[in-house]
Amino acid sequence: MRKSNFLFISMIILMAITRVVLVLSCVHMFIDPNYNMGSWLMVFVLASFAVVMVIGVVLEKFHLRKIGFYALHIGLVLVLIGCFMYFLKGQSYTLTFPVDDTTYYTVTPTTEDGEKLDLLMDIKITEAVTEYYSPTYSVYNVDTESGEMELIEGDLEIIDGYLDLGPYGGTNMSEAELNAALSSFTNPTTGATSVYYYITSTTAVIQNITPSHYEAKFVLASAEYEEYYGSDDSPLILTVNHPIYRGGWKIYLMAVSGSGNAQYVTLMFKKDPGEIVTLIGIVLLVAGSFISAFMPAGKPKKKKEVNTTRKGGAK
Amino acid sequence: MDFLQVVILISFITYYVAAVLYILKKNLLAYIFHGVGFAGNLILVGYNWWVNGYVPFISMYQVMTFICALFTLSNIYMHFVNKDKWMGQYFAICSGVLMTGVFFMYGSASLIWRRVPALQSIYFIPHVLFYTLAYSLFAVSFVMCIERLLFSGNDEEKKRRLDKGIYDVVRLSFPFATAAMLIGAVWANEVWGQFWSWDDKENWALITWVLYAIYLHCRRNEKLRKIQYVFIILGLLAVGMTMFGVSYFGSGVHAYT
Repeated sequence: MRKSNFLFISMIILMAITRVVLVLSCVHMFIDPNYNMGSWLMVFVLASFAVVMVIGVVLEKFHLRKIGFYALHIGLVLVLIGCFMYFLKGQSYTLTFPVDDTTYYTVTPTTEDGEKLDLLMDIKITEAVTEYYSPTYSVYNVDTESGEMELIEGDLEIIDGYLDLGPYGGTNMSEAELNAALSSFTNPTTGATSVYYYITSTTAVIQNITPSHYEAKFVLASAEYEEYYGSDDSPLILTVNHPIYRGGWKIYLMAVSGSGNAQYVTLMFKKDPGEIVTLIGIVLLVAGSFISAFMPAGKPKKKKEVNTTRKGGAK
Repeated sequence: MDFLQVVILISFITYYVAAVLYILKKNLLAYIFHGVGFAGNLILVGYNWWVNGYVPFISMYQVMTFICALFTLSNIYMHFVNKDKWMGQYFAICSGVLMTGVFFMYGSASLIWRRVPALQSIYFIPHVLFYTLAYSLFAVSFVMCIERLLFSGNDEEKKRRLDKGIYDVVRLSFPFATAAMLIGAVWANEVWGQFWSWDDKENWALITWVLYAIYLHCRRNEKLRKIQYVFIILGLLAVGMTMFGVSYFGSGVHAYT
């Protein structure tokens, strides 16, 4: 196959990918937010893309100058292979457990088909921690008819025990007075909670609470490996962005919810056979793209011919 | 109008003035105005950084302020390293346009954004930094593309120079777009348990990446070069959708950005 013909074919495939992703993402965005884009259609398109890239690499005449090209395209193929391996054989289950330092709960997720699986593990969540940044306060004008709110002043903080609302509240408000005045409202549609109080009928102060840290402590008993991971005195600690490998599974902290004696922790258990392949592919792809950009292969520079003729004639 | 709004106003005015001066080939004056705009821009970035206590990458206001500054830094790179000394007006125009948007965004949202636990990651800074750099350069390539298509007339020398300039800019930006997308994938695997979740933001970032990949492939063939600029234009539309459209229309794990 001629290289120019092959380039046309690869362009067609690339454009096809763009169209497929564009159409499916529009469906996802505007029609059905639950639409699953990781379908066999996408697999077929991406598999075609991978085949085209393999052919492209094979057709390209080998030279060390083109190391960036090879790394980029081989990396992309490896990424697709790794993702396909997960698509075929990967497992991931999300479960919620109560925080209860006296009871082990079996890890038995339910599949999409309704089948109950036993991951041969028991888990005891001994503690869940949620920390917050110190709250800030924002003043809004509220349109009582439409309910729309316009920010007037933001990022106000309690200083020396007082919140200075300036022209909006007339006087300083002590933290105790503020806490007494604040009301809590939970949106029945979204579930989001706002903490606010009205200074006047059309001006409201909203308390902004942002979580700074989530943590779950737990003990894991694996029947498969006949081993305990962590203990009551030294439990395993799981935080967001820092999953851990235990009992053959990669465990993620997805959420901490509830309060007081009714706290819950949501964990995800995952097995990804293609993870290493995907990561290697990513490294190659990034390295290849930088090499191609900053050290383009191009044509080899011709060596300058040495001109032995002196200016002004012979010696 | 407070001090910061005045700084924003001065910045975008001096950026526009610099762009005009570059076009009029008054380079020394253009450098001075560009420098003043950049200095104001740095004040804004520095203030946002100080107020937040960390790199200002959370809100759209902070990111756009940062991108404005990146335009000038990219111009310096293209000028001294790539030896493309004629691109100043494009970078200045892009800075001016974006800084105008910053002016109207100022005060519409809180300046302080606290990082939720999902954003507390070593991947956060490189992911956002590389995306801002890549998208800023894509914007510059778009401006150059518009001039190439609409304002080059019969000037073949200008067309050749713009052809090469657009290619140089996209060639520089593409690896950063690639790295940003894949750092995001690695980060997603650490926080959400999957490299790619077909989230709206991810989809449009992928569409953007593929469009510029198509442009780069077009450059390799004489026939395909005739349609290369279609993908520069579509690419910037995709960038706009990725940065702004998804926030208004989309949902998913990137919903807070």
